[in-house]
Amino acid sequence: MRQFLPTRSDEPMYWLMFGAGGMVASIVLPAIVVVLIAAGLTSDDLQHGVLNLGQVASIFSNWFLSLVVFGVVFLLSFYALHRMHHSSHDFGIHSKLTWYIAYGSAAAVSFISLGLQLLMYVKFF
Amino acid sequence: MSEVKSFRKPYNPPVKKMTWWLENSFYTKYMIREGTAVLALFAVLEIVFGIFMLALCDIGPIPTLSGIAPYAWYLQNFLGNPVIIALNVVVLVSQLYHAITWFALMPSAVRVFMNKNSTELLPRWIITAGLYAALAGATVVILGVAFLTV
Repeated sequence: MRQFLPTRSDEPMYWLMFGAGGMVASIVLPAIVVVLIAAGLTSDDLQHGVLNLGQVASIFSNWFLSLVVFGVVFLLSFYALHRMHHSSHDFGIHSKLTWYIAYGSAAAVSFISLGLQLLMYVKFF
Repeated sequence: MSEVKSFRKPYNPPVKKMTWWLENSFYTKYMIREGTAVLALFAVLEIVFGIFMLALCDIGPIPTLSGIAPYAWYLQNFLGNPVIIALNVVVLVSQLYHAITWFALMPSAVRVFMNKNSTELLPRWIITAGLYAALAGATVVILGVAFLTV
């Protein structure tokens, strides 16, 4: 009987997303976190603070910037959960369940972000 | 997960103590680096939560205070919360630690040859320096755009 099963490992796909996410985490995430801290410190002024409504509206009304934000969320969630999945081995967890939990949550976070961004695009702009 | 039949028989040594990584500074540094991924996930969830709160808002031609209430709550009561600001500072430090280790290992992971006709590799410091330049460039661009367009 012919088997319709993949003959190669799919691990390179996840490793690719992990590698790309690691690059995002080390190159752009520090600056993004500085922006989040600045937004928290200047949040008393809703008109002119960092990440005020006009600023975020101009990010998400632009399809390219919105896609960049999605790319950051997608790659970072796969990167972080891939690393947590593999770290679970160091604590004696060798179950296949962590595979489903890690990549399932990463996919869920990515899809939620994409869905909300599309919703906003339709609703506001 | 692929269904490829695996002939691998890994030996999984029993983990007797959950704190084994505290006994050796090399292991501790390794585990701190693994832990930076948890904080990166926290930053991602902050961003997605912000997108969610923004999507809840009601922006007409003229935004009203009640229409943008969810996003204002996110800015003032979530991002402005001293606990979250302190956590974000921890996230920032952890990501910089991750960046340093990531840039240090990258020359071992990526092998760039000097030219087609030799097996000589590009010096390690060039790859590391290029990545630090990318970090500096991305930081300048993001902070410049964020602070100059408010």
